Amino acid sequence: MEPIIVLKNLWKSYSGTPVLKGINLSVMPGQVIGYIGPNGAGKSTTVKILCGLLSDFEGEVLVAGKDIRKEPLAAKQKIGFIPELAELYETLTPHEFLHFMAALYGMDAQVAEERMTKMLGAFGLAGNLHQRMDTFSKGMRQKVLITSGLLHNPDIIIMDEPLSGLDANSVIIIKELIGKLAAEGKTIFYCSHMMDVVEKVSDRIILINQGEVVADGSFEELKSQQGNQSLERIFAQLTASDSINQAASDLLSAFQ
Amino acid sequence: MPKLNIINQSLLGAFMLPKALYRKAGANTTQLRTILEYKLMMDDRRPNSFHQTSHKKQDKQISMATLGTMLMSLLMGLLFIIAFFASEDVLTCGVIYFSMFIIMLALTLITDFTNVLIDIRDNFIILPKPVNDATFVIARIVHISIHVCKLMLPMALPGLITAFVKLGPIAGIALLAGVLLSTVFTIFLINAIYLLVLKVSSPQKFKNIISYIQIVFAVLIYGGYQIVPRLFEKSILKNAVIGEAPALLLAPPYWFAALLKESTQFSTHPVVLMAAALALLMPVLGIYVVVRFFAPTFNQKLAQISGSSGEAAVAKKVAGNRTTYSQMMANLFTNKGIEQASFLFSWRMMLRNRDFKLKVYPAIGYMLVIFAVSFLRDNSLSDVAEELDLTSRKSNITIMMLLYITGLVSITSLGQMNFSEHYKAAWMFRVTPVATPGPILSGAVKASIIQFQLPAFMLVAVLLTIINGPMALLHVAVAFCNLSLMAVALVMFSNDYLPWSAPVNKNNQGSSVMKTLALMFALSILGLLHSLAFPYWWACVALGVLAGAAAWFSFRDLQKTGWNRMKTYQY
Repeated sequence: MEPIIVLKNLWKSYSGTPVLKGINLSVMPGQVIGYIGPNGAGKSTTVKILCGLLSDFEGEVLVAGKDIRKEPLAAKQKIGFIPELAELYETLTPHEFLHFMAALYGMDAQVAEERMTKMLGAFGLAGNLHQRMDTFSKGMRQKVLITSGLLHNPDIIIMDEPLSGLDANSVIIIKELIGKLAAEGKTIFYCSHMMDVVEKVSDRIILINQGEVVADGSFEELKSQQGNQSLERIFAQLTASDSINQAASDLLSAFQ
Repeated sequence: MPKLNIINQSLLGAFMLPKALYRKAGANTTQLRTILEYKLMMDDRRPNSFHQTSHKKQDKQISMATLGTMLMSLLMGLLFIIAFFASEDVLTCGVIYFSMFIIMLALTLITDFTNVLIDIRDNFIILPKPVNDATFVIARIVHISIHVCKLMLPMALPGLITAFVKLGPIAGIALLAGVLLSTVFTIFLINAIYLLVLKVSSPQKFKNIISYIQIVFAVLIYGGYQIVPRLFEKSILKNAVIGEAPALLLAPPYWFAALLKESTQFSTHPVVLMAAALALLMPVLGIYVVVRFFAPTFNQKLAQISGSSGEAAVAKKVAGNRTTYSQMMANLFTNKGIEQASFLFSWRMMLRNRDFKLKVYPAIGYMLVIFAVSFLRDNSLSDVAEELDLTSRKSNITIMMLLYITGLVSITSLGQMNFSEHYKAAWMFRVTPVATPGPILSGAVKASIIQFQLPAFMLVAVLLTIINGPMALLHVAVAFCNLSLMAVALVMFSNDYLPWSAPVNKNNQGSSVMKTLALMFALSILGLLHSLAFPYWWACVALGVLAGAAAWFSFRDLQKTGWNRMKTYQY
């Protein structure tokens, strides 16, 4: 089987400062990748490159066999992107927004109509389809964003903190959805800070720090390498400088 | 310690004088002073109601907003001086003065009252701290009073000086009393309006209503400066006398004018006496009503306005697949797919985006004012008909103006439709497989033309056809082709951003002023060509065909615009 996402020696700098330093990665269809790392590690940069938002990088990126720089449209067609609490044109209704998205994907309006009705219905938003989003809560907006990323039935779903603003019940729905999508052969690229969720949903965890992959494997594999502890601890061990335990004491010492 | 400018400093000093009184009411005066200092400092950094409709851009931080506000108030106050020269009759002068004063003060206050009146951040910042209720309430009252003073004093000053010099010191003092009383009355009025509006609409709509008031405000100021001096030239008002009809008692400006009248030439006419009594009585009554009845529900109601999400999103059913006007237009004028989707998107954004409406709707108002001014030269309708008669020689210029001035609205709307406070939502254009941004652009241009240009032209067309018969339609058509060409050219040469995807504060005004000037120049060239061709129908047809063809090809070109030319926010 061909890998569906390939990153070959990916380098990217912002005004001279390297953010990604030679990332190599290949992802098979149906895998759920948990992509984690501390702030500034290069997670969002990777996501932006995968979605075709940034093209001035070095190295090679193949999405579904297409070079993201040479055939960006074909690659984008395969990808569904679910951003974290992204801005929306909130004076639109979900119905109008999703139809606009569908048109940008070149979808048939009838198909889009049926899918959005079903999906928002499943999220409990059937009654809000024709209501402007400026009155929506964070969670409702995030549900619309999730719908917009899945609407065109993409093979690869890239999620950047998709659970932001969602309540506990919706989190359960999304976690189950990820499993079901993977079972259908969809590839999930899941970026998050929430270790407990990553630990549960991913078949493969990739930990990056300062632009480099520092760990790559299933949770079980990581545990056997790093000692039998939670992902949170493994994360701290691999990414934090020694100051992490000291920080709390330092904060407290301000009172003295 | 916040640094306050001299005006805030002295106003605060003056308002802190009755310290003992505040203490007696239970306030902690140290806290009170601190709260007020920070509130005033923040006021100094907030754009005021004059900034909001202006096209100017502040790249630098606002730091002297107070002075700016006061200067604008002063300028308005200068306009009010006209009232004292409008008529020989003091009562008439007074009515004109107080009408202007109350309307302008009310409009200014309405637009930024929500900011001052309630600051929901108070709930998170002040209320959790050990500050008692009396301190909190007094801080709010004093803050509002200082804010009103800053607007009212400079607005009243030119009038006061004029009255003092022209009508004598007693009249000056009477006017001062009138100004103070009418200010109190105006605050009552605004409270009443706020409550009324909140009663009939939701907090979400409330913001829209406020922005409509701002639009009316901008147009009124512009119209005032354009029309009032012209009325004087024609001395329409010179011999007007307002008189003493009992119905005038219903008009608040009349009460305060009566006060002025009684101080100069004492009148025993019962209506005037009654009006003067009302001037003294109504503000007091107003205050009582505000404190007794309005205040309790008021704060609570207002808190909803700035509340994060307003009312909870309530599920509702909306009519299904009826074809709307916008959909009909989209089907008629756009290609299916991305262009059509973009047309509908921009169409809706133009109707719903508050910032856009704040910038563009005043332009429609200005246009109407310019029409009004240009017809003001002739007073009767028959003159207007003559002015627009195709066969008369002088009609040429008036008709050209009528047709081409509508282009102003189009230019403004196309310039503004790039900007959105939600510009970050433009990530959607980049993650989707859109080959070229061309159809997105052309859809937006078409939406603007059809939403703004078309109705304006329909109106002009009907007007001209009634006067001249169907022959007039030729000129309407030629102008429409010219203006459409202009619209495409504007977008092709100046827009680096996709519609609704530029941050509002990235309005690099310097170059866009140049572009607008270049555009106005191009527009006048086209208008000139049209007016040269005016007497010969065949020349008009030729011009129309040429412009139409050029517009058509430009549209096709626009649809091929590549991504390399566009800047967009990328998520």
